[in-house]
Amino acid sequence: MQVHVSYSNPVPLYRQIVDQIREKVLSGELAPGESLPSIRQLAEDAGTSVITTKRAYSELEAEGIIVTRAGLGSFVADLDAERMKAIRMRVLGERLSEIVADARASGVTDEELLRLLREAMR
Amino acid sequence: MAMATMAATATATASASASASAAAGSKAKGTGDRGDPALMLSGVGKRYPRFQLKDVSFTLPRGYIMGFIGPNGAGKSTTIKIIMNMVRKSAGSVKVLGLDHVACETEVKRHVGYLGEEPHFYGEVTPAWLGGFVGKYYPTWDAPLYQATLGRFGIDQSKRVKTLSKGMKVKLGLALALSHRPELLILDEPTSGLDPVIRHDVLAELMSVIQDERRSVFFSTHITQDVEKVADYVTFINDGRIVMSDVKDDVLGRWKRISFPLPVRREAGAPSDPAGLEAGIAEARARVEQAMRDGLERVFAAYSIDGVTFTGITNAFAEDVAERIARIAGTRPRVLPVSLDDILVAIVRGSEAC
Repeated sequence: MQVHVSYSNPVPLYRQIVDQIREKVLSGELAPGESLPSIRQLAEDAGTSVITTKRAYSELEAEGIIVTRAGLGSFVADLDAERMKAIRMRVLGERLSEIVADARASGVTDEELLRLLREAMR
Repeated sequence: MAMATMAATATATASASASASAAAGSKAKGTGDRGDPALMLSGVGKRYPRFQLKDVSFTLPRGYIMGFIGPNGAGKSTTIKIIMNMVRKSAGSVKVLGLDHVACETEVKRHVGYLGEEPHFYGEVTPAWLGGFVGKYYPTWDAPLYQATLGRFGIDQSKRVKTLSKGMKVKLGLALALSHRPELLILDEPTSGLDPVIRHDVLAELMSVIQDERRSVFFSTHITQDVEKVADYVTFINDGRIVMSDVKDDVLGRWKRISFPLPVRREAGAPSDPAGLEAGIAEARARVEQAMRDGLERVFAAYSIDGVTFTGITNAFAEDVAERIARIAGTRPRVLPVSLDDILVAIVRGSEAC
């Protein structure tokens, strides 16, 4: 499993790892039940600290994307199509909230933003 | 490890072993409880005529890497030499793997791998001979591991040490420090003066050491990028004092560079009215400065207003900080990560200013 982190990216390192693994699960690159590298192995491979990967894994666990079995390691959770869709919707919702906050802070009205969204959907 | 140091360690090992085993008495052998931190310093001090180490305290839990950062002369090597009992401390306590570093010196040294600054090896001997020599002092010496490590590092065992490059000598030192399978590796500036490829190899080796979650690494450096990559914990020392010791990710999460354009009111002068624009900028600047005096400046370690741009470095970033600034700036500020280098500079400059 390839995970790349960038130290110049303003997104925190553990977030970068969470986003990439979640994307691999949602795209099917990582199948349900597939085993993930250990926290320490992933830290070595990605060139980050152990605490960073530990935080990334507990975040993914909290999101229900991976499960960790004591002594066995971490695995991709058994997600059905409905769960996958729900996760995808949540991620999109978060990105939209950021856009809304940006727009409001710079004086773009909600109506103007909606018009932009409709244009983008055409 | 210098030959002289090795010999000194060996004598210390021999002379201390009798007293240590007597002192240990009924106490269980080994390196204390598994739950004990790898390294714990409390209130450590050392007084020299022109330099003082003051109240040095920090803890490295087992299974992690701690980077020890500070400018030259801050006290990094002195602290490490105190841990290794090569320099006597004037105050405080040092526990290595749960054991007192002086009372249990022999036991401590059996479980610690140490690589000093600028390893000077006797040049006429070979790596193979050195392995045989050092290995005699460690019950847990693993000769096949030593040979395998040398092989992986591309070191010819039969070449005289004096023919090795500086980078190869550091790798040789690391192979020697690792081959008794220490639980704690203590390295003084292991990457200084090395080319990027060898630095990478050395850091990769540190990462592979902690694949075993009982093993820990403590290394000093002034190259903050090395700490940024591999360390779980970071401890800053400046002028003999610990400035900060924390989880690296938390430090990088709190420290941010923040910038925003001054909130110049729109009516404040068109290009055809430079005087009006100037007045508008002065008014915006005055409002930002007032907000800083009203308490916002506590958030910043340093800031400046240059032309129409505010730039600051904060050590207390949180979402509410961004919101407070957004209310003054009229727009969300740009928030950028800072490197440990920037933090080190901010800390050193800050202490000079006071």
